[in-house]
Amino acid sequence: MKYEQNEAVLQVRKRLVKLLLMGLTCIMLVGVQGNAFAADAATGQALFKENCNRCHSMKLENSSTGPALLGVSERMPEGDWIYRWIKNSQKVIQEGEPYAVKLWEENNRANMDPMPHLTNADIDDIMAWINAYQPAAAPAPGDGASNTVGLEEAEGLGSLWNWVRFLVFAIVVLLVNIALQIARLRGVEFLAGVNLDKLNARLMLGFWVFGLVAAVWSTGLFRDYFILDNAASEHGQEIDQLFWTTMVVVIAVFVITNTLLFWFAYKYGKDGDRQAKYYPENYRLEMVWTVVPAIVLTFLVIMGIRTWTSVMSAPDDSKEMMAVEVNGQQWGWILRYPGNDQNFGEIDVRRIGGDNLLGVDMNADESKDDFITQDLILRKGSVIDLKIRSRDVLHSVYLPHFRVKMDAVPGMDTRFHFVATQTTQEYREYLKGNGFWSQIERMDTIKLDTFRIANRDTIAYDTTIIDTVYRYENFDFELACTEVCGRGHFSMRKKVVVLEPEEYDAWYEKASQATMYKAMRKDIDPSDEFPQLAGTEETGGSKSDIILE
Amino acid sequence: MSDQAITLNKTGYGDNGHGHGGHDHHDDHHPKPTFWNTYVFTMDHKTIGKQFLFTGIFMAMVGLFMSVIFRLQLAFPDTELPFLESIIGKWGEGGKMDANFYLALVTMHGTIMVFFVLTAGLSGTFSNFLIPLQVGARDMASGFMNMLSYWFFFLSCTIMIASIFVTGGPAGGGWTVYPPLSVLESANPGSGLGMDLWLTSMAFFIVSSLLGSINYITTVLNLRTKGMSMTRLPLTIWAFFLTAVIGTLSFPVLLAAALLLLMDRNFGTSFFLSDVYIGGEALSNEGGSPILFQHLFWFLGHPEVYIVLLPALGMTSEVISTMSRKPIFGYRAMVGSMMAIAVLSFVVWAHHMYVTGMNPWLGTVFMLLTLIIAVPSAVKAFNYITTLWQGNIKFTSAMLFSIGLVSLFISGGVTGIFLGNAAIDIPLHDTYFVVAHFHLVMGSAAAFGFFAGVYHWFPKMFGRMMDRKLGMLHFWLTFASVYCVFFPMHFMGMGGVPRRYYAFSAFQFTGHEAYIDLSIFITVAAILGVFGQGIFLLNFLNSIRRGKKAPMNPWNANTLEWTTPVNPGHGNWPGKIPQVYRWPYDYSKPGIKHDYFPQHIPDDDPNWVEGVPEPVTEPAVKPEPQPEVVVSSED
Repeated sequence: MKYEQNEAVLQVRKRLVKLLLMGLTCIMLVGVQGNAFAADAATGQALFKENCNRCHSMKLENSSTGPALLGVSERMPEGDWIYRWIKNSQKVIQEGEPYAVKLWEENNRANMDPMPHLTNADIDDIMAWINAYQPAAAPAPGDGASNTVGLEEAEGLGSLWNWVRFLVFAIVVLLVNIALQIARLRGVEFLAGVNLDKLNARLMLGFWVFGLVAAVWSTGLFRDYFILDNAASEHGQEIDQLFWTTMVVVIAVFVITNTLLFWFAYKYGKDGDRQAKYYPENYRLEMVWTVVPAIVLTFLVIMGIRTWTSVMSAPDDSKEMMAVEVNGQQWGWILRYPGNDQNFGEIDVRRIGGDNLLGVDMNADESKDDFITQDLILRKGSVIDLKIRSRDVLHSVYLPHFRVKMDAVPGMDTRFHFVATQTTQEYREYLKGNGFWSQIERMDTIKLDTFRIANRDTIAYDTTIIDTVYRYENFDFELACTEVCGRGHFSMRKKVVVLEPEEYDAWYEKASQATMYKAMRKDIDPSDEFPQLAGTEETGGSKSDIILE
Repeated sequence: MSDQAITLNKTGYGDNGHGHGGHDHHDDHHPKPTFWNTYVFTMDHKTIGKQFLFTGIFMAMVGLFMSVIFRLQLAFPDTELPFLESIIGKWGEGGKMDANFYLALVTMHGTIMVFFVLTAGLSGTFSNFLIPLQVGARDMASGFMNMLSYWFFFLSCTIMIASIFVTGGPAGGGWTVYPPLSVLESANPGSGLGMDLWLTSMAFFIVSSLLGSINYITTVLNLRTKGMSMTRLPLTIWAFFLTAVIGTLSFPVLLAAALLLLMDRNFGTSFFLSDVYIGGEALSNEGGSPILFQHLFWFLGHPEVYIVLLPALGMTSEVISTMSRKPIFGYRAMVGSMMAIAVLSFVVWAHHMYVTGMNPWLGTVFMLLTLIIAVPSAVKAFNYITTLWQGNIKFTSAMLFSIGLVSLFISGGVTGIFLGNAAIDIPLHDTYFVVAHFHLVMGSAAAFGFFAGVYHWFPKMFGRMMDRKLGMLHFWLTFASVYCVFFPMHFMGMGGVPRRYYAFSAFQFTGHEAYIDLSIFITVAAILGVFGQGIFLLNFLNSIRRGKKAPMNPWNANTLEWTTPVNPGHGNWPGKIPQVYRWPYDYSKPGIKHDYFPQHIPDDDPNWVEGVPEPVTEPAVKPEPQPEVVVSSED
């Protein structure tokens, strides 16, 4: 009946809806483009946020991972120094430029990430913003305006555009909805005369085919980031093998069952003439798909139990052991080694206080040679006896590359034994063959916000600089937390370094010399006290081998 | 009429023939219908079901909205989003979300979705609405307890929502509220008043759930109409029944855990605390074990997964059979596998705890039991697929969501084979792989079951039809969105990215820019999905008032609820309750004149059965003239 409505009116309405959609899309696009035409300092701010904010605070008077940058223009050498420094600071340091070396020393020899993709114009923009920045004048704590920064106009503009984009999005959503509703109520028939059963049947098949292609394609996109194929530990390799075996089974089941489902949905979509088959039961079929999965699962269970038992069983006595204790706390790890006696001093949380971070029994002999390190240093080939504790809430020790995970439970010590099979250096070598890690560092940012390239003709980055640092050279094993433990949960990082046995022994020898008292003091950064490992600094040792100083 | 009703109604309710149940014996007079006793403190199972439905939808909006907010943080960790401040106030100062509030949002999203939407909203709605209608009862065994069940749920919702607004924010230790984080306010500001409210709310929720479950079990066991043996129950009822049994046995354990946690928090006990140093001092608590709480929690927590999923599977069985115009394949196997799942669900809980420091030997036992559960699940999936085979599929909105559910159930289920394996769980535990797994198999699949239920039984609930085309749009948008959101999360899981991370920038292995791009993609897909739910909401609300009037049996289905009037009154059937002659899945049966054969039609009805001579006497119930399957907007 509704079809009888005036065709002309329908056409007009349809066109209106189309126009509306197109118009809104245009507005959205303009909204995105809008950012590109903002003032220099505003661009600088955006660039800063994108490139520098990882380490430098946007509140320039504050230091973060990197130093505070307020008034940096007055401090730094004039001329092109700043361009060279930002594009590749390590190079400037190696050239022995005095101010660069001074900065490096002042910042614990931490290297700044090279930014070869930034053009001189970009850097000018960033400096323009830094120079224009006004620190907030003693903001009252808790005051809503405490985040006032300089250059409010630019800030306001940025916010405005965010707002616009968000609003436009909301409006589109709203309008499409309203349009659909009005159209329906007024009798406009979408998909008028279309056989919905046929359409849905086709969509079912289309969805599955498209979905499969998308799944395969997107797997390719993320393949390089999977860590589940080259475990750096003995048991990890077993787990990986089991994982991929299971994967074969799972993919087979996933594809077969989904294909049948969507194929049947397509094939048997409603067709007025067909009589559905009365087929309520088939005992034999039921048996097949009870027994076959049962058999497959039996195999998986047996393999699983075998692997799990071997991972969890007591370590092989014939191998050398190394012990290290990982103490979780909000929000970090304290890493303690037993020292020369190979015994840890006892811990009791009631003793925590002052210099005694862990509550170690200071009078016991075992405690005297215990020492704490900045990074988790492991010995390749030995059985690593990871003793796990927590002093406050639950944490979980997670060494992704070693397939190690075990909760840290206050009041209950847990353990994990494993053997590291690759040193950090060996793993870096392995990553040379990985599509992502074999690339030049920071290649990913060369994407450079396509619109920026489009709006300026100046793409001028120095290729001679960027071909020097490969990603794998900066790779490090890491220790993370996987049990939610409060606000800092996402940032409980420790670097993990695996050394050849002889390197490790030499390092351990030196490290044990230090007295426990020193090791336990919180005001002394253990990394200052202990033999420094080149290449174990935060930003990594670039190409240098890991060697003892 | 009155005496007939009494003979049919096995409980021996006095049925006075006016069609109301016998539960209001405390009042000899039929209470005068007022606004309050009709819509608010009602004891009618249908209205209570709708109350659960509306509350569930409201809670779902809250839960979904929260997920959008925290997805924004994950996609744009470095961007200032000024509108955040206007939505979440001090937690989003300067357009940057507070890390504690991120955790609070994740926690509340989980809590609300699992308990308030997928447990109460799904099971509460459809168990209440469908059990009496499908077993042929006038109402629930106890209308009063049923009313209490809803109002305890309402109270629980109110407290949970209120907890969002207290100083310190709502609970923020994950929906599993593991101590000691959930005990110590100095460890997490959400563990203050917010956590107390969380626990109080959950206590009321459990009371509500138990009142409901006991009612469902009693009604199914005792109030079935004549001829409705257990083996003739629709699979929906089997699912609701088993769900209620699981809930009755497992929820009390969570209540115990919640009370013990409340005592640890407020009365200085040490059930879950030992050797804790926090806020600059060592606590005096000693001897407790945080692991104990995890055992208690997961003893409910894992069965809870099936509490959420079984009703969805039950309703889907009904829809798939009806819309394929075929009997559900392997009815007995379907019931058997649901029973197996129900039993096994109690003995797999520790697979959430492989790496908590639990005795590794336990890990092997739980691995074995966990992987066994894949067998009945596989049977169910294959039976669904075989039901489609050689059917004559009508793609109603409910059917679309049912097929979607089967796909999600498979895709999310298979990854359980990784996670159930203790060895493989070591690298995957608490990563995005887990997030992907349970959102597909439990969250989305159950939500799809919920939608299938709403679309399918909407005509019975409101006497009108929902719009089919909007339903279709809703389905495809939601289906695509769900896969776009959760499928790529497997990639992050295989990259080792842990869940509940406020940002991914602190680590090299999580900090890949590709993951930021992926997060943006997921967030956009999620927002589009939420937009899809807006379409549903509009369609739903609009159809209640303006939808096309529904016929009595719009899907040509066999079950008893379609023998009630379009708008069934109190007591469901104006006359006597129909008798049942067969199982509910005789679709396209040879020798039957129509492609369905309702449960209440006698075997010798010449209007239905071929070869039966015209009757000398009148048939018990005259079949109404049946058009081809009637579907909403087309006519």
